[in-house]
Amino acid sequence: MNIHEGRLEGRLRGLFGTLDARAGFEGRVMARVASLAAQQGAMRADLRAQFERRRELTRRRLRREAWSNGISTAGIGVAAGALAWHYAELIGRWLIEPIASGQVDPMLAASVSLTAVAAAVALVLWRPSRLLR
Amino acid sequence: MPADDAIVQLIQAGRAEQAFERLVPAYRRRVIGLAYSVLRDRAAAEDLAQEVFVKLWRVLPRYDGRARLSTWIYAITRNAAISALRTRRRSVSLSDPAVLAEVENREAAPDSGPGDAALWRHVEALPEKQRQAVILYYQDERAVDEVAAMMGMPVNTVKTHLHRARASLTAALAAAGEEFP
Repeated sequence: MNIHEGRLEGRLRGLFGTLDARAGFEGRVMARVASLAAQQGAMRADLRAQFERRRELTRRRLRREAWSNGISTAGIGVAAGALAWHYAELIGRWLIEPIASGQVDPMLAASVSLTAVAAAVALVLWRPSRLLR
Repeated sequence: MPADDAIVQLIQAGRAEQAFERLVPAYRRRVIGLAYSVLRDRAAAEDLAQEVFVKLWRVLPRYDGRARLSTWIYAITRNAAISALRTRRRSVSLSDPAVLAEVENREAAPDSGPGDAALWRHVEALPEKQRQAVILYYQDERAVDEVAAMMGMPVNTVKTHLHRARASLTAALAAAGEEFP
């Protein structure tokens, strides 16, 4: 390196060696980041609150549906009991007597009855609106 | 780089906030220098550096260590600077060129004595990559390989840029009789 080049190097170092941010740059960056973090924290809290609200509404709706299903099932049970009570004589004549006399297989009769009850219960519990959610 | 190792360890330990607090002072001058070498405007470089650090704060927890930390930061800074430069050029084309030239001349040079205004003009006249290499190399007496990492180009290419820039500047100063002010 000759004297000219050495001199040039020195001048270039002098020109660019001071290149830096103004004082307080790091503080400004940290303040900006802190403000963004606070905004993000508020947004996260808001989203969390919305999520909790939706979850609570869903929980209440499911509880209501459970009550309504229970009442429907009980109502159907009571209605079926009342019908059986009301038509006990007829049922005895058409259902019990043939079974007792061996005209109808008791297992077949029991299976048909249970299937009918299960179908009725399934019909009560199934809600087409659930498919939409 | 030991500072980088500590920062990477903190990120991998899930302590990105602490990593960021160490990263800002460690990379402040380099990010400012790289932004300035592209934008050639001190205030704009500082604004851009602030944006880069905010972006780094956002993405730091996702740093996966595949690239070196410095390479990753330089790439983010370079992309941001090039994007800012494009935006500035678009807005410049819509404004009064005379006013803008004056504003740019006033803001462009780094803090320097009156004797260096001439040198700054010669640096300004260098081709873009040569000028960028000169600014980054002389800002912190960096090693050529670090300047190469900052510019995202091979070490030998940077050496060539620096060699040509020095030759051009020596010739320009000699021609203007400004070498020994």
